[in-house]
Amino acid sequence: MCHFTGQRLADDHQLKGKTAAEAEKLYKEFHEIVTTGKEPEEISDLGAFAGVHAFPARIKCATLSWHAALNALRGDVAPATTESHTD
Amino acid sequence: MPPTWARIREQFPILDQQVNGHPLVYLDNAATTQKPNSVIAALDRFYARDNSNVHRGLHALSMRATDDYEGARARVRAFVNAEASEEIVFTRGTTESINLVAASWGSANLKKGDVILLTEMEHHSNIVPWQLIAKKTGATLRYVPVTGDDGLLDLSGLDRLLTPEVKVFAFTHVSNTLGTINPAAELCARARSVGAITVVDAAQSIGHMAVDVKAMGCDFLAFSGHKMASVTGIGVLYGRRSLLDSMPPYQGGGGMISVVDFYESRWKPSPERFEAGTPNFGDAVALGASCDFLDSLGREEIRLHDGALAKEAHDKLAEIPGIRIIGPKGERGGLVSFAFSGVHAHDVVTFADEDGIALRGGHHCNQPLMKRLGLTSTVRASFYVYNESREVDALVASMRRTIKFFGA
Repeated sequence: MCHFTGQRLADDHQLKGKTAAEAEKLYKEFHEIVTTGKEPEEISDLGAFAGVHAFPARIKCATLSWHAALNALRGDVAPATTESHTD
Repeated sequence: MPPTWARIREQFPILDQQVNGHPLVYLDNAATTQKPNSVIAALDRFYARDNSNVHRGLHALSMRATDDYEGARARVRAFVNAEASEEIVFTRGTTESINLVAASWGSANLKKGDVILLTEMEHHSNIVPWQLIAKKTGATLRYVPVTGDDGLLDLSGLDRLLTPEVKVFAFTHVSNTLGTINPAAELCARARSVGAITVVDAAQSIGHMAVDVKAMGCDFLAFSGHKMASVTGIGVLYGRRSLLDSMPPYQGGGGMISVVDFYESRWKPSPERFEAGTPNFGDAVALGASCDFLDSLGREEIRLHDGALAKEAHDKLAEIPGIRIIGPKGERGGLVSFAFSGVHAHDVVTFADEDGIALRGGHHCNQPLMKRLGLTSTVRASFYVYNESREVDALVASMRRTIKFFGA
């Protein structure tokens, strides 16, 4: 799952050419889709991820590469993580 | 009425349910086992009739609860064939048992120049406590390597590793990821020949086979109740009495002292020395009940049953193209670990859950081993007394469907 979302993020140029603010906004939309199952307002590949909300344990898999991308964007050098505590 | 093999599933009420529209197939027993009616009833009976704080109590309930608690200790003593009940210390589980030995024995006996010998297949709970005490004392860590995917300890260089600087050799009896059954008696004897003490992590063996501390010749043995059909929150540290009585307390508090003055105190001997505060007597009673349950089935029979299912799973899974099974090809404990290239273990486990099958995917608290084998995660199916051959078939069918879906 994390590989796939990362691949889509990189291959589909979902972030390329966007401003930092637009990227943050897109992540908010993605996060809402994977946590609620809500379809995106505009026709978008992001809709493919709506099914993730049925698997709450996997939301962190779907968002990991986004966290990495946003960390890079924000200049945060800490390893990206979706864990609030270790398993 | 003692449970029998023929009607064993009926003894486990949790198994009678549907998950995602399929009958539950519970194959996550290496993480925790389910509990039979007799264990649940023992817990229920204790809290309904006997509950009271143990030791020193002068009223009827306290004396009854003390008898129950000390009775459970005597039951565990017999279960592992220890010399005396004083050698059985109740803890929260394997992790606390190993931390107790590392902190207490380690602080009194380790110094700069000493070596702690571990193996590459240890669970984090048998690595991290030793790292902590190594930092404090200046001792260093050394590892017995694993041969590779067949998951055996490489004992060819053991003489070179087991030098007189080694003061303690801590190793797992059965690997929670590989299923390897280590030659514990041989390893204990080899350690003894250089004067090292031994600490055996029996978390994955205690509920699956006869574990006899005298035959094994270990100095310490650690295990958890919840992996042997008992409840969470209770575990055991077995220790040789002479060693336990020479060790400083692990925690201070009520119940573990003989005399307390304003500036100094004196300790009771084992086991009280290591059981500061109100002990977990209710769960200890449930642990005693699980010893009865496992003995009623026969522990050699359990070993054969779980081992046979693991072997059957191993052989049937091995026919799936692209699967990488890790662990020994011959005799193994009751589990099988595997990976598919290009499919993450978490995806495999999610798909299996859709079929009502409970598996575990991840590093299994074995990050150093994963690194050694060049893996980030595996899928693990682990078996117990109530599992059946048809559940192995359900597992294999589910894995085939998953792999087909991913085109791996």
